[in-house]
Amino acid sequence: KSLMDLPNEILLQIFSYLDLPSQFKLRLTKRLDQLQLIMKNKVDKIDVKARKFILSTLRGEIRQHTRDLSQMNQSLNRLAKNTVVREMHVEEISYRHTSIIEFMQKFNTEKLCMATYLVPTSFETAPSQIVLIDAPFIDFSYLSNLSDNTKHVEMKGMVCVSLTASDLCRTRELIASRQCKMESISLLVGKKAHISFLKECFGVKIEDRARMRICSSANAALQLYSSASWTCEFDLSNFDSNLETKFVVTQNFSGREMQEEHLIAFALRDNKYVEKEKRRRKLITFGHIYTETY
Amino acid sequence: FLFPIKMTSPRMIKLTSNDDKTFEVERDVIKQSVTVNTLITDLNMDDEDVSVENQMAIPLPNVDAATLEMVITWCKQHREDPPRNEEEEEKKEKRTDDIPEWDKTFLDVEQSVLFALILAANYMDIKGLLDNCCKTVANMIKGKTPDEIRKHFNIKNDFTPEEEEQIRKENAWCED
Repeated sequence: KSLMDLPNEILLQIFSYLDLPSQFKLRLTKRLDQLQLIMKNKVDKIDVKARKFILSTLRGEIRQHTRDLSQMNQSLNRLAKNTVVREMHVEEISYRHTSIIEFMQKFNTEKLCMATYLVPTSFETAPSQIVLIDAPFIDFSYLSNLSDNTKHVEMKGMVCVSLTASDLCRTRELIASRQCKMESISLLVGKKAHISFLKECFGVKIEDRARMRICSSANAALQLYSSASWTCEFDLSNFDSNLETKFVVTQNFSGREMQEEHLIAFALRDNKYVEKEKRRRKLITFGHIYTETY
Repeated sequence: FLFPIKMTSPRMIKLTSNDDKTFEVERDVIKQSVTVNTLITDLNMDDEDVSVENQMAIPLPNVDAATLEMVITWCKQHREDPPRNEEEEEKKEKRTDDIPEWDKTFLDVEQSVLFALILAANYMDIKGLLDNCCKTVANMIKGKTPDEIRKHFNIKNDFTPEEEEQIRKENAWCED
């Protein structure tokens, strides 16, 4: 009798006693390879950086440095098939890493953070600036896949230029329906989609007129809460039941250029959070014109 | 007056291996095998009036004599073990460093013997023995490279060169 004479249920029991690296190393025949796919593995955290791959489990960390992006992609693709990850961080994203971002929609994870890289600002005291890159491959179908597999999503520095106001409304509806796993998402979009979203979703019209940003809506029942800070030119929130919709415009100086970020975020919140935020923010009622000066 | 004390000898069960060797084993010892236990109950073999001589032997067509002897030895060693709560066992962290010392020595045998024991434990449904055997195999795999595992267990490669290259790329993150 040999190892390969054992029935599948026993080989699966042996697999269950192996950590993830040992399971991968045991993929020595087609049968063992298929059996490994049946295993449901849990990983505490995966950190992916431009040339680094760190996988943390409760039993320790595995670090892998690689210059071969295709190799990293293959590893992530395979891991995504049967590994539940509590937290997933993908940092230092550039245009070269689009395939890695593609794989992120396949992972079953509680929290996914994706960010481009940071560059220091010209002011010594100011915090480093996140570089903005266009991410046209993030469309509604990508968000829809993410919503099935990921609970909380945060994208920093990646401008989802393909997303339209309708796509954003559909994403909001998905989260509000509670029919998917996703409970919150925060992303950057193009300026046009940003403004159109506010109109399509809440019937709020925004116009820029000589250093004035004018919001208007005929809907007197609409309640938006404002909280502008020194970096945020615009920070509006709406609480529809327990779904918070955030609409933020941030302006930063990046070298000589003024960088404007258009953020949209949806999140299911508890009552306590909603009440606290409503108290902290300024209520804007409509039916008349409200202006924000900048 | 001396009253005769009725001494109750332990109830014995007969088991026959696939090579026709019969073993007599205490009822209390073999109760760890769910398969045998169920058969005893279903066949009404717990009847005290039937002597062991007249009792039917339970055939175990998937287990040879040498392996059955080992299984009985293991069951004797673990007869006092508390009954397993399978729900609790499922919730437990999957560890391989908790094999009792006696079992470690007992299971330090040739691979063919160990795998025969695994198949017997699976057939006879002896969870404790099966678990410790599987943990022993897992310990043989841990810390080895794919080539070392292949050599150790004599596993034949059935991948095409392209499939093998794909596996190599997918495994890159866990290379030593």
